[in-house]
Amino acid sequence: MHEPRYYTQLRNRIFLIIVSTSLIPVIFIAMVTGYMFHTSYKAKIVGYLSELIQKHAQSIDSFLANSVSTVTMITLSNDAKKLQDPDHLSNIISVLQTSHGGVFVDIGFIREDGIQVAYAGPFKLGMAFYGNSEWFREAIKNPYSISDVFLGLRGLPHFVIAVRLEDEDRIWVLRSTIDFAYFTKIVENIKIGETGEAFILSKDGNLQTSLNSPYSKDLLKSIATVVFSDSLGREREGYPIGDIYHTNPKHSYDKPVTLETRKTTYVFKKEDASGRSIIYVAVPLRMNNWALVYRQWDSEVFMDIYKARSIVFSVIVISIFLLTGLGWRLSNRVVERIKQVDREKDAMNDQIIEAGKLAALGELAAGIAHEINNPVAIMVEEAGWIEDCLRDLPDKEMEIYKEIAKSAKQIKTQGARCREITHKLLTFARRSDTLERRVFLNTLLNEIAILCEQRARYAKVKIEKKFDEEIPAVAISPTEMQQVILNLINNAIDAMETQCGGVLTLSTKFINDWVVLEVSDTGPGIPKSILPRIFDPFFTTKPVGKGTGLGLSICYGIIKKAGGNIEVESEVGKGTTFRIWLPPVQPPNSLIVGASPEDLSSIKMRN
Amino acid sequence: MQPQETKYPQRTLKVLIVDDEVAYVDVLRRRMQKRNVIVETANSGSEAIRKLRESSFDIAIIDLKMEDMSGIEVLKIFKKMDPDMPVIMITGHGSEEAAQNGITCGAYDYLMKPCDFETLMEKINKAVLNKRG
Repeated sequence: MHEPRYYTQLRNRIFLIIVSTSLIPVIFIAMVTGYMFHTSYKAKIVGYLSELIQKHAQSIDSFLANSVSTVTMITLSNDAKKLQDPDHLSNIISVLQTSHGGVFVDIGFIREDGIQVAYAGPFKLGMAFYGNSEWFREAIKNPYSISDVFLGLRGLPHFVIAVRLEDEDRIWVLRSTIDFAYFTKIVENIKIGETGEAFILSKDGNLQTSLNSPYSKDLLKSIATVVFSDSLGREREGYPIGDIYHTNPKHSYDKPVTLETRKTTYVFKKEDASGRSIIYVAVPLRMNNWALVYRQWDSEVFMDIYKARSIVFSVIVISIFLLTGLGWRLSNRVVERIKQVDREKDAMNDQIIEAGKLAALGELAAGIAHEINNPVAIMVEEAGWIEDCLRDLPDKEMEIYKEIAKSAKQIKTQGARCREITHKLLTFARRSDTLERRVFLNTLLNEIAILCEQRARYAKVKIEKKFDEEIPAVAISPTEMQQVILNLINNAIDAMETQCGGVLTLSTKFINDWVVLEVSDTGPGIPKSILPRIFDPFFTTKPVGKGTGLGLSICYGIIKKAGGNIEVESEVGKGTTFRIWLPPVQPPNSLIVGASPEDLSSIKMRN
Repeated sequence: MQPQETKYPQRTLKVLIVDDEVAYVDVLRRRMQKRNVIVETANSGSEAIRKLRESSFDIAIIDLKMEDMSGIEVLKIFKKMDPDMPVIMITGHGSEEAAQNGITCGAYDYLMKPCDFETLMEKINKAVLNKRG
């Protein structure tokens, strides 16, 4: 067993390995697929928005183009003289208003010096002077023009469409005011979601329609800069959304989205004053130096992406929790198992050390026995020599002769006793002897019973022997068989010792061509619940340090190796019987060959 | 007066006893001589080989464990020098395996020390009779 710290570190290491190997792929896959989904979906939404705004820009363009052509039509179908007549203009404006709804508010005819010579409309603007107005300077220069929104003389935001006319050797300008509310309605006709809103910006960043969302002049200016600065590399403010342009070169910032109208769409993200990200989609309008701008909250535009992202995120969080818990449990179990194996290994080591001790002891005993055998042999032979010499004496009736003869005999007897002891010691010391031999169980049992007698007496256990004298020999290592029998006898004595004695019965039988050896005790018995486990290695009922739990499993191994079987019968309160079945050395049939009639009769009796 | 426990061959036996335990060899020699056996002794393997080279014996008794060489080695050399001479191994080690090993190497029989003298004499006689018979 190692220190507890070792197991803690081991568990932590296993835990880390499990968690990292299982989590890294999950996170990696989530990140990769999340990123791919994110970029492709973003590109799609941006594409969709761009197209929408393009279409809207086209309709605004066509509205303006229509308005211009309507005014142009008037200049073509009326000469300057007619147009100088306010009544005629009144007729025209009423026709326009009926045919175009409320688009055209008023109409005025202006001389090249900027004096409005005729006017028809709701305001009193007759003979007004426009010579200093910027829109007029533009109108004089161009065949037609659309002005930016301005307050003008009437003090209301509006813009005019002006068409140049050359007649009576003079230059005239026919202008009509577009209804600002109407135009704003057209522009705002693209509301998407909660926060989508469209507006028009002039080149210098002035609003041409109304804008409900909060804004600043600087913001509008910067948007205008993005749209109207030369696309050939002049630095623009703002930045494209995410990296979507990089994944698709067609949509790169340097080559902005172009649709069939060949117009450039600018898509970019800016933060407003409160820090909220807002997506801007801007398209220049063809008819003027205006840009249609659409704005919507980033969070609304990409709502689905953010939803998906939060789902992926929660899945990852859940799997992190699950895998962490799983890893923790698994690593704990693995370490518990390792601990158990280590404990078993330690027990095994103890057993090996014990075995080594016994082997050393055996070797020592063998050495001593050998050393004693020689002197004892000499003593016995010398006693024999004394007897030899005594035989030469003439008078054998002398008292001294008898005494010496008796003494010599005693020496020989005691020598034989020494021989018994040393031989037994040597037999028991040879633990490593696993060679199979013909073993007569009765003889072996007798020898072992003598060995155990002393212990049995102390434990108040009576040993009874019921031997079948005619059992054949079995093929097994005598040392191992001795170990098995000793183990069973010791267990039996241990069991009976706890209840102050009992009877230990050793019996041999010959049943169905098997030699059967039984070791029975009248001990407390083994409970049924643990009976199936008693041959398991390391299973012990003895207190810690008393038993290794290996005894019976070693017995089991030895008997199985010899081709036999060992079984147990036990009843609580009555006692336990271990029964060993071993095959005889020769099959009974071959025994009959050359057997004496006595033998045959005994075999018949058995069968 | 002679001990009459065993029947001896007609001719006088000539035995070589090899054991480094001098006292044991000595007492065996005395007891055998008393029974009219001619005994030569050797206290080491090399001495035994020299003795066998000098003369021949009816039988040899060799201890398994000696200081200069093992009884088995001596046995092997003896079997080369005089294949017909029976050899009885004696051992104080109590290990029957080693003694049985001697038999596989050509020994006639083996005995464990301390052994009964009469048993030893019986085995000697049997071996010599076998050889002659």
